[in-house]
Amino acid sequence: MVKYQQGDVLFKQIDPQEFRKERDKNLEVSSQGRYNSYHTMEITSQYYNDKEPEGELDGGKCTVALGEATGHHHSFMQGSPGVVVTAYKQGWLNSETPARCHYVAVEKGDATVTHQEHKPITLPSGYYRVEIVREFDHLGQMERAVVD
Amino acid sequence: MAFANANFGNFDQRNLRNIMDTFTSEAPKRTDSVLYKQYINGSRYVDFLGNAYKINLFTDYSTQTWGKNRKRMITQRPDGIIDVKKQTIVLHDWQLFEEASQALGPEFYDYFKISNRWSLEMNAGTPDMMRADGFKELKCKNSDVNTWFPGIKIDLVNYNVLNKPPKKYKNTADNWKKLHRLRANGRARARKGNDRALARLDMYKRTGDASVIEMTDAFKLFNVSDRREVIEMFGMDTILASRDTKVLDKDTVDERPYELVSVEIEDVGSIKGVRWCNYLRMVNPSTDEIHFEGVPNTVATVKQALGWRDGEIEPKWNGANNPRTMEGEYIKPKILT
Repeated sequence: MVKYQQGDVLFKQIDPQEFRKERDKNLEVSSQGRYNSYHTMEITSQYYNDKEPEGELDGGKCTVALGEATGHHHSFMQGSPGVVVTAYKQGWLNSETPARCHYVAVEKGDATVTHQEHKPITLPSGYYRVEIVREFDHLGQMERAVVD
Repeated sequence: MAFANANFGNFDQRNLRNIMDTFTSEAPKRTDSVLYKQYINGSRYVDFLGNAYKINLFTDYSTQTWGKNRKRMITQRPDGIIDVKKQTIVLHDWQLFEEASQALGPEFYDYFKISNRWSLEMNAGTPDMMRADGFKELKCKNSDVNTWFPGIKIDLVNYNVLNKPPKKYKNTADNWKKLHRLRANGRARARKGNDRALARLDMYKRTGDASVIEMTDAFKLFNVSDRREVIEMFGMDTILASRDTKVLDKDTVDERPYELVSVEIEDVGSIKGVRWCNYLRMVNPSTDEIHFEGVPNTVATVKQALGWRDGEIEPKWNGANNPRTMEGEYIKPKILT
């Protein structure tokens, strides 16, 4: 498995065929309005660099994680010509984690993810599972996603 | 044989009194028997077999003719027995509680709620480790019995539990509840510690008075950005020098130095008042800021800590009496910034 890391956000590369199959199936479930919290998939944000944004999701950046205290964010805002970056949410997102999505699809080129406190990284075209690193709270005896 | 003169049929009584009335009218003698199948959903069911004196209950899982239990037959020990004359029920299968709203009627379910309580562990990887086995918690409206046990006998007139749980079941439940309380208290203390440290940090930001910040806030704050401010204020080495520490492992990954440090931290919840806790000390490669994040005490090396942090290594369960070991492998990121 190939993994990229920017601060507390991990991008783990996944099998493209499996992801596309799962995505198409679950996006169809969502479009039919069927309630199935585990499997429904939604687009949370999108970035492309070759046309002007047209709607709310169709923005100029694709945010994958957002810092609660600092307002800093891990976002795709640059990429090779024609690149399309789409962030997907599957099921629900824990309100305590800074993650904004579960998967990111980088299609038709490479895209760069930026953050205010970390150097940018360029992800090659592919499909990635987005994870937030975890830490262990010894006082509370529990593990949780790192929040910033 | 039980089936010899049994009448087969499906019924939808949903109430224990109606069920008993049906058997009383349809099989009044001890030698009579009728069999009814009560569906609890599209596929699962409970068989009621008996007469005006005794009704035996069999869940579909007990009477299945496939899988490892395929040799079990309906003539074996029932999962529940209703004594119609004494108006009592004895249950041998906890599933009948789960299915109660369907199989034994909503009135029964109103008095009994069963829930799974998974095993708990505290201070894993330390000599102070505490463990409690899981159990099936039973909440009874009319009784102080707090655990399911096979052979539980219930009065069907006022839904009292007529017998007491065996010591083994009671001790398991008591032990679990004690540990659950300790854990809940620990979490409440952690939340309060975070709130107070946040208030101090807020005060410092508003007034510029650094004396309000305590060094221990570096261990109490949940948010890493807030924590980093405290670390920058005192310096990580000063914070660590203020308490007992042990460096468990040092490693360098792609020229980035990491340290696994064990720190002694005050904990009013523990018997000794202090507890050793593992932390991973690392440097942000983009800004050179120091990060200090907790990792489980079962972690022994930097690589294990990094793997656990990234969700690639998990503590492996080795049985109740053996310490956990770490299972998995750390995958080095292709790029880390």
